[in-house]
Amino acid sequence: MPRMLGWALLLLCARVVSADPRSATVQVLSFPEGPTVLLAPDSLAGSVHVGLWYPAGSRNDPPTHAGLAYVLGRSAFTLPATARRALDATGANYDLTVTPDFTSNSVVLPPDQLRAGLEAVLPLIQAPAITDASLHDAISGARAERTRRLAQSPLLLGIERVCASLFVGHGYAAPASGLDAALAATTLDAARHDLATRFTPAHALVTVTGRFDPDDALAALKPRFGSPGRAAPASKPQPPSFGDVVPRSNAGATALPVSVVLAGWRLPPDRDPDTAALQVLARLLTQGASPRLERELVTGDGPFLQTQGNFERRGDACLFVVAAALRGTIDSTQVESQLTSQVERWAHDPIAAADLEPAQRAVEAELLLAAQTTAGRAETLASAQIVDGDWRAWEQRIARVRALTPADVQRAASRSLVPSRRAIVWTAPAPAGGRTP
Amino acid sequence: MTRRVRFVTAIARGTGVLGLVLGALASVPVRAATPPFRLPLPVVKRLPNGVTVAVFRDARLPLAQVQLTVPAGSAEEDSLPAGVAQITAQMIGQSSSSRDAQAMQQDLDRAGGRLATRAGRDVGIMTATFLASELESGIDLMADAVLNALLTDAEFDHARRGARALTAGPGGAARQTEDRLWGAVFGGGPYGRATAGTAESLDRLTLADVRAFFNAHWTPVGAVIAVAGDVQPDSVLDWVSDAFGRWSARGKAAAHAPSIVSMPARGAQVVSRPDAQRCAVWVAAPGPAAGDSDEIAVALAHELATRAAGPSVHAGQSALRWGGFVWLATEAPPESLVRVARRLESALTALRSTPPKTQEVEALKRAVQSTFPMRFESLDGLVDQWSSEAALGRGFEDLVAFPDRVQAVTPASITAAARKWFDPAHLTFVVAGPPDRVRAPLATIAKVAAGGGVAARPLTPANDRRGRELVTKAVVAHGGLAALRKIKDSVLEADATVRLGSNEASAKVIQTRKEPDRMVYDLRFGDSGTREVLIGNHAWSAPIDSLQLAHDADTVGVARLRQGFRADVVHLLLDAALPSTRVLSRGAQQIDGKTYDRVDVWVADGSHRTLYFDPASRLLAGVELEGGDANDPIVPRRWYRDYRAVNGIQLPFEEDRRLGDQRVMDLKVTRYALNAGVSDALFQRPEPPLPPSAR
Repeated sequence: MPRMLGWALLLLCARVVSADPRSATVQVLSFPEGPTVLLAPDSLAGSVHVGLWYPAGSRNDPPTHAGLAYVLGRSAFTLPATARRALDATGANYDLTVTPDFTSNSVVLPPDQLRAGLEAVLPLIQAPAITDASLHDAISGARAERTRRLAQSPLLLGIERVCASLFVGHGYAAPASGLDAALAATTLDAARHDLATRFTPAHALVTVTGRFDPDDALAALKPRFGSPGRAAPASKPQPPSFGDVVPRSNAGATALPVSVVLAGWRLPPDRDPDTAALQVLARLLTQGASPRLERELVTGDGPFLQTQGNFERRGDACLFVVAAALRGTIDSTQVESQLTSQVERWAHDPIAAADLEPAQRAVEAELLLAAQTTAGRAETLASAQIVDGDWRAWEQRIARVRALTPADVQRAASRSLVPSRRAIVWTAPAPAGGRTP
Repeated sequence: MTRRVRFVTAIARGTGVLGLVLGALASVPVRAATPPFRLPLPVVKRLPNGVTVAVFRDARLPLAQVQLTVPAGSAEEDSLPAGVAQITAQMIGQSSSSRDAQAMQQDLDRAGGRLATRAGRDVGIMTATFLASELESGIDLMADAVLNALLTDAEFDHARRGARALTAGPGGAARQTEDRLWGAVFGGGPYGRATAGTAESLDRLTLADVRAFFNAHWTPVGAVIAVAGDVQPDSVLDWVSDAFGRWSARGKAAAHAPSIVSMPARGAQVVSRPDAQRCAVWVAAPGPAAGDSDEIAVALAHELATRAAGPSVHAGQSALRWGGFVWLATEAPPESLVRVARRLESALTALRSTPPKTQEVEALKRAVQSTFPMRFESLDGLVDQWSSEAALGRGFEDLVAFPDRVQAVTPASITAAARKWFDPAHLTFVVAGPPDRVRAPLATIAKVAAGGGVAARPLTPANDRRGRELVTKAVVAHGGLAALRKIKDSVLEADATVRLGSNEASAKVIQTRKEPDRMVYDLRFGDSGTREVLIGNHAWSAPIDSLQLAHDADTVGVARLRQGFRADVVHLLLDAALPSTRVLSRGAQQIDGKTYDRVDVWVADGSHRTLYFDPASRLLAGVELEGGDANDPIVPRRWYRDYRAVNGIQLPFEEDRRLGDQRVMDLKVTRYALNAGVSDALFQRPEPPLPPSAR
């Protein structure tokens, strides 16, 4: 009886801790030569999502080929036209995602099309194909995409410079979609070599989420890859290495009519417990009802016009960037100091619990919302599996966020929001003819 | 709210899709081992004040979604300026009589919530997500936001500023084309209005209009509230009853017309995009209203037509409360637009005579049915789908019946629907492109409505003569060439509003010019700011409060200031009047509802600009300057208003400066000084500060 009570208490605790009751049915299997497979059925879902993921992004792009994972994602891992046409007719939706940490191609299908989806995606694992033509198209597409993003986000150049300054000597220094020079230097040989290095079946993660029967999924996988076993725990990753931060630089002119100063901090890897605290602090400073940064800095007669901020989760080092638009083009250390001190002060000033709580709830809601759909759940689980080594990490993240105290935040800030981990970047107003005068 | 079938690309800014539900699962082959999809059955209650409430329990994640839908879309705007429905929706949720804006946001944060409002053509919507544990306070917050909305001046200014920025922003051009399509199909009726408003309607809109619209349409009459998530339905019904039960009507809504849609006659419209290399070509046909017996057949016919039209074609269908339409669109160079438009037309009308193959129809039906559950993947999808049905007065059973309605469609019923709706006599063509290249070819396929750009005329020497004549008349209207040439120096002082998206900052501008090529441009924000100085082929800039920290401008900076020197009204006219300058009339052009004489100007130094003259006053109304470069092709534009005489010369006292369509700075001139004797010392670069003395 006491033993049963113990089990009951354990189950109760599991129910309380778990943010997602669907987690009970998640299983991760490994085939002898790859891939690893994550199956997450959900009988209430309206679709099934099949995703193919590789731990390849700017993080481990070859040094002279920034953007190569992005290019390969657009070429070797897009579905052949015939497969795509067949799936199109069923109402399939596709997605290509390349982040600094992973590359994925996926398809969302009606549940009865699971087999068709797997039959379309799985051949990409065994024989990803790339030709001169598809490489050329992918490079052109990558350039066009970057041009479009630069046009839409005037601050992108500044943010890229922040990354280059913070992540010296590491792949994160370059944008995931690469830079023109590196893209231009990409050859078919380099692409094929990379396919054989980072995109092998052993590196692949296949996710199936949504309304499906796991036996059906395995029935499609086994003839290709053999019999699966339980996946071994991920090995502990090598600690990343970074060069010294470039403390101050200039990113040139943007399309904005004013100068902007950006400050970025290189934070610990996402699996580090501190990052939950820093994510909540970033929310508190830059978003929500009355973002601290805006409230403290954007005053009637001060130099600041507007502030923004962004926290980005990354496997080797998270990133926190704040940006402030300024009145005039004054390049002054005083402005930098005002901006950075409003972030770094939380290393020594405790946050009131009443202020922290709304930010905790907001971050919790964000994490939960991201896992609602089959596609969202696939990305949530796969990125936890790839970046943190365990798909359960996303629920652990929620638990950490819920349990945060002001002291946790202060301790995390004192470790990471410090000048030695900070880079300042300036951008100038639009230089094109006749714009300002 | 717009309803649409799967496969159909969105067009309307509203949300929602055709209300589809997978009730008849027998039609969807799912292996026995896979549990069939089941839509959570709602608990529905009608409150005494008329509000219909539905609660769906979905315990997969500890979240809850709430959507309030009211019949407050743009179709209800009646005689109020277009955009009032959208602005009203945006203002609701900002503050209430018991919570100021900050308290509202703080309470929302405390509930782990996010709240958004929007308006489509039929309905206004407030939707919010909360942590499930905080739902009760979330519902209370939503009720407070709606029942006790303050609708303040500041909120109105902010919402209108945002709407103007959107109208003029990068997406504004596409939105204008889409609005034109709706206008062409639905004429002057309620669905023909621009939901986001136009520059002109937003200028006319007042806070009183917003309050009138709010009082008349954000009422419990016809309102529906849907809640979904990890919730207990009984508790939720109690909370909603408590919070919204005291909601009462404040005003009286105008009676609905029973039908507001008629079949438009075949016609065409041109949306002016003078610089476009490729045209957007749209072909639209009227369509049935939501719930009409033809709705599904037309949706399937439209999907078949889209497939037949080719891979680069995008398409959409809107089925609204009182009517609908379908469209196909693609891009084409101006010289191919007739062929492309015919191809799109043929894709639609071919179904009238050639029934689709049974196999093709059955495959399409299966796909529509099996993708249908995807609409309910997220909690907001679930509440939106149910709300769209309920707002039309339909029930859950209508949702459930959808697969049967799909199943009932046959090739014959598709052909019958195509014959009824895809009638060549009622097709509408809208082309966005250079008017002088598209009007004539477009006229060969449909009667082209007036407006939308210059008439299609070949360029001839008469265009040169006309251009010169327009410039000459403008110079005279501004005070004459001799008077303009006598200006040796000028000072402009202005209060400026610098815009960053929806944010604004006040500044002061002082612009001093001295012939032939010197200029000082001061932009001050309070005590700080910058000074940029042009001296012939050199330039420098410095913080205004630390001029000794000046640094030299690079070649780009010098070029920018040189162009700026000649970008005032006086120099624009002087340059255009030079004998060495080529000027070419481009005819009349409509911009923001006003007609201007457009003249292209090529100055001897190779620079090009486009001048717009007011045909009545002959004064310069606006200019487009040369853009940056291939990587940054956004065209700087300036528009001048409030002309007054200064020393006998007509000069503008208001000016707005734009990048593309984005308004970046407004100027209100407080002082002009002409030939006041500007000192040469003003342009001198200060000495740099002395180095620190050695100790």
